[in-house]
Amino acid sequence: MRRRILWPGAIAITILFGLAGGVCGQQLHPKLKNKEKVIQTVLIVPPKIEIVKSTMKGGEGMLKETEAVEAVLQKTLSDVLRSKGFKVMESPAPDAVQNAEQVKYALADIQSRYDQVHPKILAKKKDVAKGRFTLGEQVGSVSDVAQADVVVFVRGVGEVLTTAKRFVRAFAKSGPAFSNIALSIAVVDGQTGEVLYFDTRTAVGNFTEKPEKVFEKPIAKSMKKVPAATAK
Amino acid sequence: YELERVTLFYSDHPALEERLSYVTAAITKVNAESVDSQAAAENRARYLSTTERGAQHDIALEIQSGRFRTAHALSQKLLKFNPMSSENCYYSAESYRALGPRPAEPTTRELSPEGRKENARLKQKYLVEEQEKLLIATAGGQEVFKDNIAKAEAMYRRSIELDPKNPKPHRSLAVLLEKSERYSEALEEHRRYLELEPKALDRALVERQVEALRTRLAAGKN
Repeated sequence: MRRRILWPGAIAITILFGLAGGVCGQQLHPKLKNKEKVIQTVLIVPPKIEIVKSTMKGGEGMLKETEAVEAVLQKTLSDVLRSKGFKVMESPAPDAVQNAEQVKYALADIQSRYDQVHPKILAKKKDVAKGRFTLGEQVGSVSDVAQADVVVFVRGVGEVLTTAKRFVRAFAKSGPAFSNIALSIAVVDGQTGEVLYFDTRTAVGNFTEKPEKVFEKPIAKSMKKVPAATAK
Repeated sequence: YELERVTLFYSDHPALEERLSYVTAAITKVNAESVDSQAAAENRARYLSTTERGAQHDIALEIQSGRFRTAHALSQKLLKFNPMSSENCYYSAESYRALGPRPAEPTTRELSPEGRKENARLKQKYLVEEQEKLLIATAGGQEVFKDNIAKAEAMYRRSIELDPKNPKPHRSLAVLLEKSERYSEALEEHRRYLELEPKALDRALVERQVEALRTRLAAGKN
Protein backbone atom coordinates (compact mmCIF):
# COMPACT_ATOMS: atom_id res chain seq x y z
CA MET A 1 0.00 0.00 0.00
CA ARG A 2 2.73 2.48 0.98
CA ARG A 3 4.81 1.66 -2.14
CA ARG A 4 1.83 2.39 -4.42
CA ILE A 5 1.41 5.86 -2.84
CA LEU A 6 5.17 6.68 -2.93
CA TRP A 7 5.82 5.87 -6.62
CA PRO A 8 3.36 8.37 -8.19
CA GLY A 9 4.70 11.07 -5.81
CA ALA A 10 8.32 10.37 -6.79
CA ILE A 11 7.45 10.52 -10.49
CA ALA A 12 5.55 13.82 -10.04
CA ILE A 13 8.48 15.43 -8.22
CA THR A 14 10.94 14.33 -10.92
CA ILE A 15 8.73 15.79 -13.68
CA LEU A 16 8.30 19.10 -11.84
CA PHE A 17 12.03 19.36 -11.18
CA GLY A 18 12.72 18.62 -14.82
CA LEU A 19 10.24 21.27 -15.95
CA ALA A 20 11.90 23.78 -13.63
CA GLY A 21 15.15 23.23 -15.54
CA GLY A 22 16.94 21.38 -12.82
CA VAL A 23 17.79 18.37 -14.98
CA CYS A 24 18.05 20.04 -18.46
CA GLY A 25 21.52 18.82 -19.30
CA GLN A 26 23.40 19.11 -22.54
CA GLN A 27 21.51 18.86 -25.81
CA LEU A 28 23.16 17.06 -28.72
CA HIS A 29 22.27 17.14 -32.40
CA PRO A 30 21.87 13.64 -33.92
CA LYS A 31 24.99 14.28 -36.06
CA LEU A 32 27.07 14.59 -32.91
CA LYS A 33 25.29 11.78 -31.06
CA ASN A 34 25.85 9.38 -33.95
CA LYS A 35 29.40 10.69 -34.48
CA GLU A 36 28.64 11.66 -38.10
CA LYS A 37 30.37 15.01 -37.63
CA VAL A 38 34.12 14.79 -37.13
CA ILE A 39 35.55 17.63 -35.05
CA GLN A 40 39.25 18.34 -34.96
CA THR A 41 39.54 22.12 -35.04
CA VAL A 42 37.37 24.45 -32.98
CA LEU A 43 37.03 28.21 -33.34
CA ILE A 44 35.85 30.06 -30.21
CA VAL A 45 34.40 33.44 -31.13
CA PRO A 46 34.69 36.18 -28.47
CA PRO A 47 32.18 35.53 -25.65
CA LYS A 48 29.53 38.13 -24.90
CA ILE A 49 28.89 38.63 -21.21
CA GLU A 50 26.79 41.15 -19.28
CA ILE A 51 27.67 41.73 -15.65
CA VAL A 52 25.72 43.81 -13.21
CA LYS A 53 26.79 44.80 -9.71
CA SER A 54 23.79 44.39 -7.49
CA THR A 55 23.86 46.85 -4.59
CA MET A 56 21.31 48.05 -2.06
CA LYS A 57 20.77 51.12 -4.29
CA GLY A 58 20.17 49.07 -7.40
CA GLY A 59 22.22 47.71 -10.31
CA GLU A 60 25.41 49.16 -11.80
CA GLY A 61 27.21 48.11 -14.96
CA MET A 62 30.71 46.56 -14.74
CA LEU A 63 32.19 47.13 -18.18
CA LYS A 64 35.87 46.91 -17.25
CA GLU A 65 35.40 43.68 -15.30
CA THR A 66 33.32 42.25 -18.15
CA GLU A 67 36.24 42.41 -20.58
CA ALA A 68 38.53 40.64 -18.14
CA VAL A 69 35.94 37.94 -17.42
CA GLU A 70 35.33 37.36 -21.15
CA ALA A 71 39.05 36.82 -21.70
CA VAL A 72 39.31 34.31 -18.83
CA LEU A 73 36.17 32.51 -19.98
CA GLN A 74 37.57 32.12 -23.49
CA LYS A 75 40.87 30.83 -22.12
CA THR A 76 39.22 28.37 -19.71
CA LEU A 77 37.04 27.01 -22.49
CA SER A 78 40.07 26.72 -24.80
CA ASP A 79 41.98 24.76 -22.14
CA VAL A 80 39.06 22.38 -21.61
CA LEU A 81 38.66 21.76 -25.33
CA ARG A 82 42.41 21.26 -25.81
CA SER A 83 42.33 18.66 -23.06
CA LYS A 84 39.76 16.79 -25.19
CA GLY A 85 42.25 16.70 -28.06
CA PHE A 86 40.87 19.54 -30.20
CA LYS A 87 42.96 22.15 -31.94
CA VAL A 88 41.53 25.46 -30.69
CA MET A 89 41.56 28.79 -32.50
CA GLU A 90 40.62 31.90 -30.54
CA SER A 91 40.62 34.14 -33.57
CA PRO A 92 39.57 33.36 -37.16
CA ALA A 93 42.74 34.64 -38.74
CA PRO A 94 45.30 35.72 -36.15
CA ASP A 95 48.09 36.32 -38.67
CA ALA A 96 46.00 37.54 -41.57
CA VAL A 97 46.55 41.01 -42.88
CA GLN A 98 44.66 40.53 -46.10
CA ASN A 99 40.87 40.53 -45.71
CA ALA A 100 41.22 41.55 -42.02
CA GLU A 101 38.41 44.10 -42.37
CA GLN A 102 36.12 41.60 -44.12
CA VAL A 103 36.84 38.96 -41.45
CA LYS A 104 35.94 41.47 -38.75
CA TYR A 105 32.58 42.22 -40.42
CA ALA A 106 31.88 38.55 -41.09
CA LEU A 107 32.56 37.75 -37.42
CA ALA A 108 30.20 40.54 -36.30
CA ASP A 109 27.56 39.20 -38.71
CA ILE A 110 27.61 35.67 -37.32
CA GLN A 111 27.61 36.94 -33.73
CA SER A 112 24.56 39.01 -34.59
CA ARG A 113 22.92 36.02 -36.26
CA TYR A 114 23.57 33.88 -33.18
CA ASP A 115 22.06 36.60 -30.95
CA GLN A 116 18.83 36.30 -32.96
CA VAL A 117 18.67 32.52 -32.67
CA HIS A 118 19.88 32.28 -29.04
CA PRO A 119 16.57 33.26 -27.32
CA LYS A 120 14.72 30.63 -29.39
CA ILE A 121 17.21 27.96 -28.33
CA LEU A 122 16.89 28.97 -24.67
CA ALA A 123 13.10 28.75 -24.94
CA LYS A 124 13.20 25.24 -26.40
CA LYS A 125 16.57 23.63 -25.71
CA LYS A 126 15.32 20.15 -26.50
CA ASP A 127 14.79 21.16 -30.13
CA VAL A 128 18.58 21.13 -30.55
CA ALA A 129 18.32 17.33 -30.47
CA LYS A 130 15.75 17.57 -33.30
CA GLY A 131 18.15 19.58 -35.46
CA ARG A 132 15.82 22.58 -35.52
CA PHE A 133 18.32 25.41 -35.13
CA THR A 134 20.74 26.72 -37.72
CA LEU A 135 22.67 29.94 -38.22
CA GLY A 136 22.89 29.35 -41.97
CA GLU A 137 25.85 28.69 -44.23
CA GLN A 138 27.25 32.22 -43.71
CA VAL A 139 29.06 30.76 -40.66
CA GLY A 140 31.31 29.17 -43.27
CA SER A 141 32.82 32.52 -44.27
CA VAL A 142 34.42 32.72 -40.79
CA SER A 143 35.09 29.04 -40.06
CA ASP A 144 36.71 28.56 -43.49
CA VAL A 145 39.26 31.29 -42.72
CA ALA A 146 40.14 29.55 -39.44
CA GLN A 147 39.83 26.11 -41.12
CA ALA A 148 37.64 25.13 -38.20
CA ASP A 149 35.14 22.29 -38.16
CA VAL A 150 32.93 23.98 -35.59
CA VAL A 151 32.41 27.43 -34.08
CA VAL A 152 31.69 27.91 -30.37
CA PHE A 153 29.51 30.75 -29.11
CA VAL A 154 29.38 31.75 -25.43
CA ARG A 155 26.83 34.02 -23.79
CA GLY A 156 26.49 34.94 -20.14
CA VAL A 157 24.55 37.10 -17.71
CA GLY A 158 26.20 37.65 -14.35
CA GLU A 159 25.42 39.32 -11.08
CA VAL A 160 27.97 40.41 -8.47
CA LEU A 161 26.43 40.99 -5.06
CA THR A 162 27.75 43.34 -2.43
CA THR A 163 27.97 41.99 1.14
CA ALA A 164 24.86 43.87 2.22
CA LYS A 165 22.90 42.62 -0.78
CA ARG A 166 23.92 39.04 -0.06
CA PHE A 167 22.73 39.38 3.50
CA VAL A 168 19.38 40.83 2.43
CA ARG A 169 18.89 38.13 -0.19
CA ALA A 170 19.74 35.35 2.26
CA PHE A 171 17.44 36.78 4.91
CA ALA A 172 14.51 37.58 2.65
CA LYS A 173 15.06 34.50 0.42
CA SER A 174 14.43 36.80 -2.55
CA GLY A 175 16.96 35.30 -4.93
CA PRO A 176 20.45 33.78 -5.10
CA ALA A 177 22.57 34.92 -2.14
CA PHE A 178 25.93 34.56 -3.93
CA SER A 179 27.47 36.19 -6.97
CA ASN A 180 26.62 34.06 -9.96
CA ILE A 181 26.80 33.94 -13.72
CA ALA A 182 24.45 32.03 -16.00
CA LEU A 183 26.32 30.75 -19.05
CA SER A 184 25.22 29.21 -22.30
CA ILE A 185 27.59 27.50 -24.71
CA ALA A 186 26.67 26.47 -28.24
CA VAL A 187 28.71 24.48 -30.72
CA VAL A 188 27.78 25.22 -34.35
CA ASP A 189 28.75 23.29 -37.48
CA GLY A 190 31.31 25.37 -39.39
CA GLN A 191 29.94 24.43 -42.82
CA THR A 192 26.19 24.11 -42.45
CA GLY A 193 25.61 26.43 -39.45
CA GLU A 194 23.55 23.80 -37.60
CA VAL A 195 23.58 24.03 -33.82
CA LEU A 196 25.17 20.72 -32.82
CA TYR A 197 25.43 21.15 -29.07
CA PHE A 198 23.96 23.42 -26.43
CA ASP A 199 24.37 23.67 -22.70
CA THR A 200 23.38 26.12 -19.99
CA ARG A 201 25.15 26.25 -16.68
CA THR A 202 25.39 28.54 -13.67
CA ALA A 203 28.73 29.27 -12.04
CA VAL A 204 28.51 30.48 -8.45
CA GLY A 205 31.17 32.51 -6.70
CA ASN A 206 32.97 35.81 -7.11
CA PHE A 207 33.81 35.39 -10.77
CA THR A 208 35.21 38.91 -11.15
CA GLU A 209 37.95 38.40 -8.56
CA LYS A 210 38.70 34.69 -9.06
CA PRO A 211 37.32 33.87 -12.50
CA GLU A 212 39.60 30.89 -13.25
CA LYS A 213 38.58 29.17 -10.03
CA VAL A 214 34.86 29.84 -10.52
CA PHE A 215 34.73 28.79 -14.20
CA GLU A 216 36.96 25.73 -14.18
CA LYS A 217 34.52 23.04 -13.01
CA PRO A 218 31.30 24.33 -14.66
CA ILE A 219 33.00 24.66 -18.05
CA ALA A 220 34.53 21.21 -17.78
CA LYS A 221 31.10 19.75 -16.91
CA SER A 222 29.50 21.75 -19.71
CA MET A 223 31.78 20.23 -22.35
CA LYS A 224 31.60 16.73 -20.90
CA LYS A 225 29.26 15.30 -23.54
CA VAL A 226 31.06 16.83 -26.53
CA PRO A 227 32.72 13.83 -28.19
CA ALA A 228 36.53 13.99 -27.95
CA ALA A 229 38.54 14.73 -31.10
CA THR A 230 38.74 11.89 -33.58
CA ALA A 231 40.93 11.40 -36.63
CA LYS A 232 39.35 12.35 -39.97
CA TYR B 1 6.63 48.98 -40.68
CA GLU B 2 7.68 46.21 -38.33
CA LEU B 3 4.36 46.01 -36.45
CA GLU B 4 6.14 46.42 -33.16
CA ARG B 5 3.98 47.09 -30.12
CA VAL B 6 5.58 50.14 -28.56
CA THR B 7 4.50 49.89 -24.96
CA LEU B 8 6.36 52.99 -23.74
CA PHE B 9 4.64 55.35 -26.15
CA TYR B 10 0.95 56.19 -25.78
CA SER B 11 0.34 55.57 -29.47
CA ASP B 12 -3.48 55.69 -29.38
CA HIS B 13 -3.85 58.81 -27.24
CA PRO B 14 -7.07 60.65 -28.28
CA ALA B 15 -5.21 63.94 -28.87
CA LEU B 16 -2.32 62.37 -30.82
CA GLU B 17 -3.57 63.25 -34.31
CA GLU B 18 -4.27 66.85 -33.28
CA ARG B 19 -0.81 67.15 -31.76
CA LEU B 20 0.83 65.71 -34.87
CA SER B 21 -0.98 68.15 -37.12
CA TYR B 22 -0.12 71.32 -35.15
CA VAL B 23 3.53 70.29 -34.74
CA THR B 24 3.75 69.50 -38.47
CA ALA B 25 2.15 72.88 -39.27
CA ALA B 26 4.67 74.62 -37.00
CA ILE B 27 7.62 72.82 -38.66
CA THR B 28 6.28 73.61 -42.15
CA LYS B 29 5.87 77.27 -41.20
CA VAL B 30 9.44 77.47 -39.88
CA ASN B 31 10.80 75.71 -42.98
CA ALA B 32 8.77 77.91 -45.34
CA GLU B 33 10.06 81.03 -43.67
CA SER B 34 13.70 80.13 -43.55
CA VAL B 35 14.42 78.04 -46.70
CA ASP B 36 12.88 78.25 -50.15
CA SER B 37 11.86 75.07 -51.94
CA GLN B 38 14.80 75.06 -54.35
CA ALA B 39 17.30 75.42 -51.54
CA ALA B 40 15.45 72.73 -49.59
CA ALA B 41 15.66 70.36 -52.58
CA GLU B 42 19.39 71.08 -52.93
CA ASN B 43 19.94 70.47 -49.23
CA ARG B 44 18.03 67.21 -49.46
CA ALA B 45 20.07 66.06 -52.45
CA ARG B 46 23.32 66.96 -50.71
CA TYR B 47 22.21 65.14 -47.56
CA LEU B 48 21.23 61.98 -49.46
CA SER B 49 24.43 62.05 -51.47
CA THR B 50 26.57 62.34 -48.34
CA THR B 51 24.68 59.63 -46.48
CA GLU B 52 24.14 57.27 -49.44
CA ARG B 53 26.85 54.76 -48.49
CA GLY B 54 25.86 54.77 -44.84
CA ALA B 55 22.23 54.21 -45.83
CA GLN B 56 23.25 51.24 -48.03
CA HIS B 57 25.08 49.68 -45.08
CA ASP B 58 22.05 50.42 -42.90
CA ILE B 59 19.85 48.45 -45.30
CA ALA B 60 22.14 45.43 -44.88
CA LEU B 61 21.95 45.80 -41.09
CA GLU B 62 18.15 46.13 -41.14
CA ILE B 63 17.90 42.92 -43.17
CA GLN B 64 20.22 41.18 -40.73
CA SER B 65 18.07 42.35 -37.81
CA GLY B 66 14.92 40.99 -39.44
CA ARG B 67 13.51 44.44 -40.15
CA PHE B 68 12.72 43.70 -43.79
CA ARG B 69 10.07 46.35 -44.43
CA THR B 70 12.26 49.09 -43.01
CA ALA B 71 15.11 47.88 -45.26
CA HIS B 72 12.77 47.99 -48.24
CA ALA B 73 11.50 51.51 -47.45
CA LEU B 74 15.10 52.76 -47.15
CA SER B 75 16.10 51.07 -50.40
CA GLN B 76 13.20 52.69 -52.27
CA LYS B 77 14.21 56.09 -50.92
CA LEU B 78 17.77 55.55 -52.22
CA LEU B 79 16.55 54.24 -55.56
CA LYS B 80 14.31 57.27 -56.04
CA PHE B 81 17.27 59.54 -55.29
CA ASN B 82 19.73 57.74 -57.57
CA PRO B 83 18.18 55.08 -59.83
CA MET B 84 21.34 54.79 -61.92
CA SER B 85 23.44 53.44 -59.06
CA SER B 86 24.30 49.75 -59.31
CA GLU B 87 24.63 49.57 -55.52
CA ASN B 88 21.19 51.10 -54.95
CA CYS B 89 19.64 48.59 -57.35
CA TYR B 90 21.51 45.79 -55.57
CA TYR B 91 20.19 46.84 -52.15
CA SER B 92 16.68 47.22 -53.51
CA ALA B 93 16.95 43.64 -54.80
CA GLU B 94 18.25 42.46 -51.43
CA SER B 95 15.28 44.06 -49.70
CA TYR B 96 12.78 42.37 -52.06
CA ARG B 97 14.49 39.01 -51.54
CA ALA B 98 14.44 39.52 -47.76
CA LEU B 99 10.75 40.47 -47.81
CA GLY B 100 9.96 37.05 -49.32
CA PRO B 101 6.28 36.29 -48.64
CA ARG B 102 5.65 39.60 -46.82
CA PRO B 103 4.08 42.51 -48.69
CA ALA B 104 6.18 45.70 -48.64
CA GLU B 105 3.43 47.54 -46.75
CA PRO B 106 1.71 45.96 -43.76
CA THR B 107 -1.92 44.98 -44.39
CA THR B 108 -4.87 46.44 -42.45
CA ARG B 109 -5.17 43.22 -40.53
CA GLU B 110 -1.52 43.26 -39.58
CA LEU B 111 -1.82 46.86 -38.34
CA SER B 112 -4.76 46.02 -36.04
CA PRO B 113 -4.03 45.28 -32.34
CA GLU B 114 -4.82 41.58 -32.92
CA GLY B 115 -2.50 41.53 -35.93
CA ARG B 116 0.33 43.11 -33.95
CA LYS B 117 -0.21 40.62 -31.13
CA GLU B 118 -0.13 37.73 -33.61
CA ASN B 119 3.02 39.16 -35.20
CA ALA B 120 4.72 39.41 -31.78
CA ARG B 121 3.70 35.83 -30.98
CA LEU B 122 5.11 34.52 -34.27
CA LYS B 123 8.37 36.43 -33.85
CA GLN B 124 8.81 35.10 -30.33
CA LYS B 125 8.00 31.50 -31.16
CA TYR B 126 9.51 30.91 -34.60
CA LEU B 127 12.80 31.52 -36.36
CA VAL B 128 12.67 33.85 -39.39
CA GLU B 129 12.88 30.90 -41.81
CA GLU B 130 10.03 29.12 -40.00
CA GLN B 131 7.86 32.27 -40.12
CA GLU B 132 8.47 32.48 -43.87
CA LYS B 133 7.49 28.85 -44.39
CA LEU B 134 4.23 29.50 -42.54
CA LEU B 135 3.51 32.56 -44.68
CA ILE B 136 4.39 30.82 -47.97
CA ALA B 137 1.97 28.03 -47.04
CA THR B 138 -0.90 30.54 -47.35
CA ALA B 139 -2.36 31.37 -50.81
CA GLY B 140 -1.75 35.11 -50.40
CA GLY B 141 1.77 34.55 -49.12
CA GLN B 142 2.66 32.36 -52.10
CA GLU B 143 1.56 35.08 -54.54
CA VAL B 144 3.43 37.85 -52.72
CA PHE B 145 6.52 35.64 -52.54
CA LYS B 146 6.56 35.05 -56.30
CA ASP B 147 6.08 38.74 -56.96
CA ASN B 148 8.89 39.81 -54.60
CA ILE B 149 11.31 37.21 -55.97
CA ALA B 150 10.56 38.34 -59.53
CA LYS B 151 11.23 41.98 -58.52
CA ALA B 152 14.44 40.95 -56.75
CA GLU B 153 15.69 39.14 -59.86
CA ALA B 154 14.85 42.12 -62.06
CA MET B 155 16.75 44.50 -59.74
CA TYR B 156 19.80 42.21 -59.53
CA ARG B 157 19.94 42.12 -63.33
CA ARG B 158 19.54 45.90 -63.47
CA SER B 159 22.40 46.25 -60.99
CA ILE B 160 24.60 44.02 -63.17
CA GLU B 161 23.64 45.99 -66.26
CA LEU B 162 24.67 49.26 -64.58
CA ASP B 163 27.98 47.85 -63.35
CA PRO B 164 28.97 44.47 -64.84
CA LYS B 165 32.06 44.33 -62.59
CA ASN B 166 30.08 44.50 -59.35
CA PRO B 167 30.42 40.99 -57.85
CA LYS B 168 27.71 41.28 -55.17
CA PRO B 169 24.59 41.03 -57.39
CA HIS B 170 26.02 37.90 -59.04
CA ARG B 171 26.45 36.23 -55.65
CA SER B 172 22.93 37.06 -54.46
CA LEU B 173 21.35 36.26 -57.83
CA ALA B 174 23.01 32.83 -57.70
CA VAL B 175 21.41 32.17 -54.29
CA LEU B 176 18.02 33.32 -55.56
CA LEU B 177 18.23 31.17 -58.71
CA GLU B 178 19.33 28.15 -56.69
CA LYS B 179 16.31 28.50 -54.38
CA SER B 180 14.11 28.75 -57.50
CA GLU B 181 15.67 25.47 -58.71
CA ARG B 182 17.25 27.11 -61.79
CA TYR B 183 20.51 25.33 -61.15
CA SER B 184 22.41 25.88 -64.38
CA GLU B 185 21.78 29.64 -64.25
CA ALA B 186 22.80 29.67 -60.58
CA LEU B 187 26.02 27.86 -61.48
CA GLU B 188 26.84 30.49 -64.08
CA GLU B 189 26.26 33.34 -61.59
CA HIS B 190 28.47 31.65 -58.97
CA ARG B 191 31.20 31.24 -61.59
CA ARG B 192 30.93 34.90 -62.56
CA TYR B 193 31.12 35.95 -58.88
CA LEU B 194 34.32 33.96 -58.29
CA GLU B 195 35.79 35.43 -61.48
CA LEU B 196 35.08 39.00 -60.34
CA GLU B 197 36.09 38.41 -56.71
CA PRO B 198 38.98 35.90 -56.75
CA LYS B 199 39.96 36.72 -53.14
CA ALA B 200 36.42 36.50 -51.75
CA LEU B 201 36.22 35.63 -48.07
CA ASP B 202 33.46 33.13 -48.80
CA ARG B 203 35.29 31.52 -51.72
CA ALA B 204 35.44 28.09 -50.10
CA LEU B 205 31.73 28.29 -49.21
CA VAL B 206 30.80 29.24 -52.80
CA GLU B 207 32.96 26.42 -54.18
CA ARG B 208 31.08 23.96 -51.95
CA GLN B 209 27.78 25.34 -53.26
CA VAL B 210 29.04 25.03 -56.85
CA GLU B 211 30.02 21.40 -56.21
CA ALA B 212 26.60 20.66 -54.74
CA LEU B 213 24.90 22.27 -57.76
CA ARG B 214 27.02 20.24 -60.21
CA THR B 215 26.03 17.05 -58.35
CA ARG B 216 22.37 18.05 -58.54
CA LEU B 217 22.57 18.83 -62.25
CA ALA B 218 24.34 15.55 -62.95
CA ALA B 219 21.70 13.65 -60.94
CA GLY B 220 18.96 15.47 -62.86
CA LYS B 221 20.44 14.48 -66.22
CA ASN B 222 20.77 10.87 -65.09
